This record gives sequence, C-alpha cells and structure tokens, in this order.
Amino acid sequence: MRSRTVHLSGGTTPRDQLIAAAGEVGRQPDFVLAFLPPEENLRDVLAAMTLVWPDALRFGCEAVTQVAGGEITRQGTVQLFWLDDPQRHHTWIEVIPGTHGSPPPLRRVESVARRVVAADGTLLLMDGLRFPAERFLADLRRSLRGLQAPVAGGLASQSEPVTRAGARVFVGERVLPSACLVLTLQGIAMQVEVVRGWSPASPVYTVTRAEGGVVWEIDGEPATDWYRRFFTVGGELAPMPAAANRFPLLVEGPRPERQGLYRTLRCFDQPPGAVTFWGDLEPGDHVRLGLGNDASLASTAAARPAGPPPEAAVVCACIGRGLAMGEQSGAEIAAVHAALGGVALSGLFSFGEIGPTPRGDLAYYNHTAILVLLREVGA
Amino acid sequence: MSGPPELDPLGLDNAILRNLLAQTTRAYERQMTELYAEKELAQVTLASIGDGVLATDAEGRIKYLNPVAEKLTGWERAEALGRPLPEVFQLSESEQRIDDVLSRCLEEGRSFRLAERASLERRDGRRYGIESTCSPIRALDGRIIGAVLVFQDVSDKRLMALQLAHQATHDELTGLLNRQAFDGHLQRALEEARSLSNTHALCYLDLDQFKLVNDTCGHLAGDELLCRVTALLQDSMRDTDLVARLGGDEFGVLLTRCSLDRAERQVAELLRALNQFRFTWRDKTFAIGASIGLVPITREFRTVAHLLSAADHACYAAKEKGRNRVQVYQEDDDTFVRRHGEMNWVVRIQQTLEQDRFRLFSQQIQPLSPHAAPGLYFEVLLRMLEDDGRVHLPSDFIRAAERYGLMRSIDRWVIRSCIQTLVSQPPPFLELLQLCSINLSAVSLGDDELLGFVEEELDASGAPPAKLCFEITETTAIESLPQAQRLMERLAARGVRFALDDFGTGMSSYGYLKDLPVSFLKIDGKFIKDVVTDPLDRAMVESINQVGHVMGVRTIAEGVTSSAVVERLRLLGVDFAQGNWISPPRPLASAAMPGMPGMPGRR
Repeated sequence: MRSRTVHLSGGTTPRDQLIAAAGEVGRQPDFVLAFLPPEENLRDVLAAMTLVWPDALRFGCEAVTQVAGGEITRQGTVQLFWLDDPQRHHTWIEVIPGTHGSPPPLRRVESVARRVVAADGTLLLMDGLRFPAERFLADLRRSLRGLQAPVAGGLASQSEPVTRAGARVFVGERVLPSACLVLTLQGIAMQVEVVRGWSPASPVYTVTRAEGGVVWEIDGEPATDWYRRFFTVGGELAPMPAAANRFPLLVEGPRPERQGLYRTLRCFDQPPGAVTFWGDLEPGDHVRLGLGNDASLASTAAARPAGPPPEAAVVCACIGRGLAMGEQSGAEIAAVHAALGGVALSGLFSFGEIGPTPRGDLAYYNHTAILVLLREVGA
Repeated sequence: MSGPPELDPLGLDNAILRNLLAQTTRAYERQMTELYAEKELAQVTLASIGDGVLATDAEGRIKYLNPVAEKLTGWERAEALGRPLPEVFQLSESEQRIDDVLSRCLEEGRSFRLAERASLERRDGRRYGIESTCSPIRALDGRIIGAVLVFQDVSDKRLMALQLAHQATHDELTGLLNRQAFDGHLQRALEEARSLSNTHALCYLDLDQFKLVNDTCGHLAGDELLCRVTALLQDSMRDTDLVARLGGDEFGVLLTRCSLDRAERQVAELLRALNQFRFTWRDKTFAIGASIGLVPITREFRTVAHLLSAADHACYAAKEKGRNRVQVYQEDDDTFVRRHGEMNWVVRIQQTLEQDRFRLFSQQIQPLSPHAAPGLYFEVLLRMLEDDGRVHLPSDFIRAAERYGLMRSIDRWVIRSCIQTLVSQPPPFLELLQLCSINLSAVSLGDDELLGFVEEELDASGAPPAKLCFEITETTAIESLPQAQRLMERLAARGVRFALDDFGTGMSSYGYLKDLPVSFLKIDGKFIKDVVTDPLDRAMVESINQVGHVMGVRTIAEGVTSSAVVERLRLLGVDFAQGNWISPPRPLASAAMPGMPGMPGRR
C-alpha cells in the first residue's frame, strides 16, 4: 500500500492541490480519507475530490484542527491510499444514519459486529455531537461477545458554540449529520495504539452518583465541591473546565472493562451541583485525577510502536489533550510522526476517541491519542 | 467563571498540583491511621481468638505465632521467630510431614488440610489432637510471600467422638456390646462362615430369675444382677468371644472359631457357673438360672435376623423344656417348627396392624329379664382379615400376639376403632346403645399407660363412658390385682363398666368380687351348654347367679345353644344370654345393628 497526505493550504485551489498530489502515482487512489474544517467551503472541497478522483471511495469528517504529516493545521488534510493488490484487497463503507440521538437498532449493531469480526480492521468516524457514540459502542461491545477485533476511530469536532449543526461525517459529496461511518478493511492489517501519558495524581475516589456524563457525587460529596478541593487557588475557583483539561479523570475499575478509561471535563456546575464529562461515568467507578504535561505526553507519543513498520497512519487525538498541551500540541504530533519513520499520517483533534482498553475491550476515551497503523498484507 | 487572574497557566497548574499533593497527603495520613487501626485490630483479634495461628515467610521460617499457638507448641514467640516451621510445629501419629504440607502450600498456592487424625507434639512431649489448615499468604500482586497455619486443639472433641461412638455401640448399664453392634459382628461371622467356612457359634441366653428379682427387690437390684451376670459371662468366655446385651435380661455370645461340640461344652460350663452363683440383695438370696439357645453359625443362615431368630427359638425351647438348660437349635425339631409358625403370625399381625386389616364384629347379648332396659347390648369381637380375603379368629393369632408382646397394640387398636365406630353411627344408635363390651388382655391390664389412653380416646371422641364395658378374665384380674384394681376404679369413676369373663373356669373366688368394681359376671359357656340336663351345671349357674345378684352384679350366660337353654336361664333368673344361636357375629361397622328397630333377633 502507498499513501500520501495532502496538507490543504490557502495558497491554491483545493482542486489544483489534489491533482498535484495524485499525479505522481499515475492512477486514482483506491480510497481517500479527509479531515476538513467545518466551514462553508466544505462542499467545494468534496466537489473537487469528486472531480479529481471520481472512482475513489472518498470519506471523512469535520474537524476543527487536523493533522497533516507531522504538522497541525486548521485548513484540512486529505490522505490518499493506493492498494498494491486492489483486486483482492479492498475497503467497504457503511453509513449508520442518525436517529435523532437514539442509538441504532440492535439488529443493525449486530450486523456491524459481524462485519467487524470478519474484517482485518475497522475505522469508525462519527458525529461528535449528535450521534450517541457511547451507547453505540456499548451495544457493539456486547454484540462482539468478547471477540477482540481491531477497531479504532474518533468523533468529529466542531468549533464553539458546539450546539450548532453538529460535527458531521461525509461520504462522496454527501454530508451527513448525526451519522456514523464504518470503514472495514480487507487485506489491510490494522494496529491500534492508545497514547496516554497521564499519571495518577490523586488518591482513589468512588463515583457515588452519576448518570451518563453527568456526575453528581464523588465519595458521597457533591461533585462540584469535590472539584473545588483541587481547583481552588487563592480562595478562588480556577477557570473551569479549562483548568481541568490538564487533569483528566482516570477510571481505575473496579469493573475490568472500564479500567484505563479517561474522561475530560466538559461543563462545571452544569447542571447546578454537577460536573459533566465528554463520556460517561458510572456509580461505583473508581476514579482519580490524572497528571500530565507537554513532556510526558510528547515522550509517550514518541515511543515507537512494536510490530512491523506501517505503510500509513491515522491519528485521532483528543481536543482536550490539545488544549492541555496548548502550543506544544505540535510537538506531540511531530513526535508521533517521527516515531513512525515519517510515514504518511493524517488525523484530527476529536471530541472523543475510540480504541481498546488495556484488556482489549472496545472503549470510548477522552484525553488520549489513538494511533491507527495500517499495512497491506499478502500483496 | 473567572479564575485567579494573577496566575499564568503554569502557576495555576502548580497551585492545583499543590492542592493535589495536600489532598493526597491527607488521604495517605488517613489511610495510614486506618491501616494502623486495622493492624492493631488484626493483632488483637489474632491474640484473642481460640485458634492457634502461626505464620511463616516464603522460606517456611516462622514470622508470627499467637498466644494459643505458643501454648499448643510450647514455644514462646521470641524463641520461635525465624525458626523453620517443622522445628516448632511437630506432628506425631501422622503419615504427613508438616514440611511437605508447607512446601506444597507455598508451591501450589492453595490451602491444605492436615490429616484428620493429626496430633501436635508440644515441646515438652505432650500431645494434642489437632485440626489444621495451611493456606498461602499472597501480596497485593498475587505473589506468595508466606503461609499461615491455623489449628485447633480437638483433643476433647476426639475424646467425645470416641465416647459417642462407644455409647452408640455399647449398653450403658453393663458396658457390653449392644444389639446393633452385635448384629455387625454376627454379619461378619456369617460372611466368614460362607466364604471361609470358619465355624462360629451363637449363644442366646435369657435369665430365668430376672423378673422375680426385679419385681421383688426393685429395678436397682435388677440392674445389679445384670452387672454381676455380665461379669460372670465375661469371666466364663474366652477373650476371643464377644458378649452382648440384647434386651432386658437377654444376652448374646458370639463364640468365634468354635465348633459346636466345643461351644456346647463351654456353654454348659457357663450354665454351671451361673447356677453356682448366688445373688444377694439385702436379706434375700436368689439362685440364678438361664435358658440358653445355642446355634452353630453355618452358611445356611441367610441373614443375621434369621440367625438370631433361630437362637431365640432354641432359647424358647429351653424354657419350654423346663428352663435352666441349654438347647441346641435343630431346624426340623417340632418345637422349632411350631415356634416358627408363631413367628410367622407375628409378622402377619404386624402387617395387619400396619395395613389396618383388623376388623371388628359384634355379637348381640340378649336381655332375659322383662325389666331390662330396652336397647342394644353386644360384645365386640376381633377378626383378622388376610390380604387374600381369608378371615382368622383370635384363637389363631392371640397366642403369638401374647408371646411376642403385640397384645398391647391390638387392644389399643380395638379400643380406638370401637369407640370411633360407635360415635360415627347415625342417631339414634347411641341413644339405643345400652352395653358395648370390649375384651381387654392381661398385658393391657398391667399397662400403666392404658388408663391415659382410654381417657384420651373417650375425651377426644365424646363417646359416653357408661355405654362401654371392658371384659377381663377372672384369672387375669386376680393375677394383676393391684393394677386391675387401679385401672378399674379410675375408669369406673367415669362410668365405664367391667365384666368378669369366663367366670367359673378359674378360681371363682367370690372374695375378689368385693375388691373389684364389677358390673357383670359372664358365666362360661361350658356350664351353660348342658344347663338343661346337667344338675351340676345348673347348680353352678344358679350359684353364680345368686351370688352375683347379692353383690349387685348382673349375669350373662355365654354359649347359649337352644331355646330350651334360654328358657332354663330365664327360670334361673340369669339376666342376659349370648351365643351363636341367639345371634351370630356381624360386622360392627354396619350401621344396622342386630336388635335395632327393624332388625331380626331371636327372643
């Protein structure tokens, strides 16, 4: 497999940049993955891709910040993939449409699970605001019945205020709100790495009252009071949720399938007395605050993954992780790119990441970077 | 929400980190406090519990022992710490080695129980029966870092178990084997006789004078006699023989590996010893005899019950031949055959009781006096219904029932069934009923609990006591006079009446009539049969009738055979007549009773 990343820039029209990128190979790519800014010219870029590669499978999602090679951009990134053996190896995409916040029917999820098990890898991209990602992943995990298949992905992101149109996915020129794309790979090995870099920094506490992402009580104390213990500085509460971005909540069990999950604070004192996370927490979860910094995150990212070198890579990094690192986010992406030997890399800063827990269960994460390493096999 | 404006992000992070550190330190201190308290609690608990606790490290060296462990091992903690476990915890009387148990526990990471019979030898040589479990101790990461041995002193428990086992197999009074344990030995002897052709013999011994001693000197004397006889038996038998107490005054002896000839000699010697023995209790001295049945244990006996039954037969035969002798069992002997027949009856009686196949019949008693109150008068009769429909009279089975102690059950069945039948008849049956006469055996008359039983049945059923009459034979009443008197007076006080049955055949001592609350005399049929033709019989009937009437007792003539007899009895002034000629027995359960309005009856 060959792959190339196109870093869209404002200098020339997208069409010219795309033609230039594809010209070297001499044929249309087999599939194209794009992470594009949620702007009005999104449809222009999609139209340009249709014009240039009418036969290629083209898909992707909106992202406020994208990754192109070892760099971070806000103008969009397109990654092209050419298979060495397109006769035998292929990709297949399925759109699970939005259902106004309700999870997809269980029968549909079970059908997806069967394809996931049969595939060499599965990439999930979904609306980061309007698709019930956690519920879908929980149903998929149950439908997989303990079978472990490589699944990874991320949630599309949107700029503030996040309540508007959604964070959409697209296939061809169709832009789909509230939807999930399921890309299954055949003949392409997928290796998933979860880049963490956070260390436990507080004692262990227990969530005592929570519903979905809203936590009301920790250790029997109102969740806001619990946060105030740590985030009151000089008698004043630090700016929330920004201050908490560098201190995500780490789940340490006791249920094994929840071991190792990270959660990012989304709203403080909303609803009043509660804190809301980008991901669910359950009563009984053992949690502690995590601690990380630019160096720890970057050094974790710089670790060379085990296994054969990939031919292409995609990264889904948490937008909260980017916020935590601030200007040093680029250093992390550069470290990842370098660790992968400069392989074609694209990605996004997401509203949530999808990857395996240390035990191998499919999980929804915050504050991680999910690294998807691809390599065509048996070509 | 605005934050502290003077702090840059790095300063803010550092401030939050300080908070985290403070919270962590606080939590750590709290946990340390809790941990210390838990450790203290654990130490106190370990020091307080009644079990010995001994902990080792992964090399099997002692790291801890509690006060109970110190006491049971005889090692003080300061001395024991650091020593290899087997040095301090020494097992005795066990095939297990404690170092093997410990090694397996540490290597396999699972618990082991010490063998059930394990004993701990204390440092000073004293031994304790112990129960113990050896379990691995794991660190948080699962590594095995030592083992803990928990053990209890079960010496008392084992002693008690031994005592209980002894009690379960031995007679409390004599200390001899009991019937159940003896059965086990007999079973083995039978098996040996079958498989190895070993010859054993069984001796069944019944003391002849035990009842006499018991009745005249009391139970204490009886118990003492049994103990003395036990000692005598044990002295007279070989060490290899087994002596057991099988019942009240019945003993069994299993003569192992003993030919019949030798057994006969040995048992004869035993009888001689018994005869020479004199039992003295206070101012009384008794010579002791025994009826002894002897059975060679051969492969022909199928079961222990069969074997014991043969020995019992032989013993009974010895009694019938005049007691105080030895009778060797012979299967074809007439005595044994008859006895065997009785044994069969015993089984049939028991089955009949269990399957509720006894049936009650009634025979009308006809008033002869025109002044008698009108109504129903009858005697209740018992029949045994076989499962094939055959009916047996009491004469077929009463002898066996009396001999094998079944009369008590039969009498109670009759009383209960009769009362229930009476009260379940439709009106105006009870109003018409004048007399329902029930036979009572000698055994029941001496049964101290019968009174309570009859009273309970009367109370529970609501039957009118005045309609009931118990028939007892003259001989029985005189033989058990004190009990008979007590029972009769108590029941008579409630209105129950009594009849002396078969009067004239026994002692016919009128003197007793003054001491017993008798309402009827039943003149035996042998005087009635020829009352018309035989002047002596007529005189006898006349005499009984006169004396009865003088004492206020009414008379019933049994075995009436003709109208001429009825007329003669009427002339003699006899009050009632009964017999098959007047009315044959009919089922009592039938609602239509003889003599009830509309029913035929001879007059």
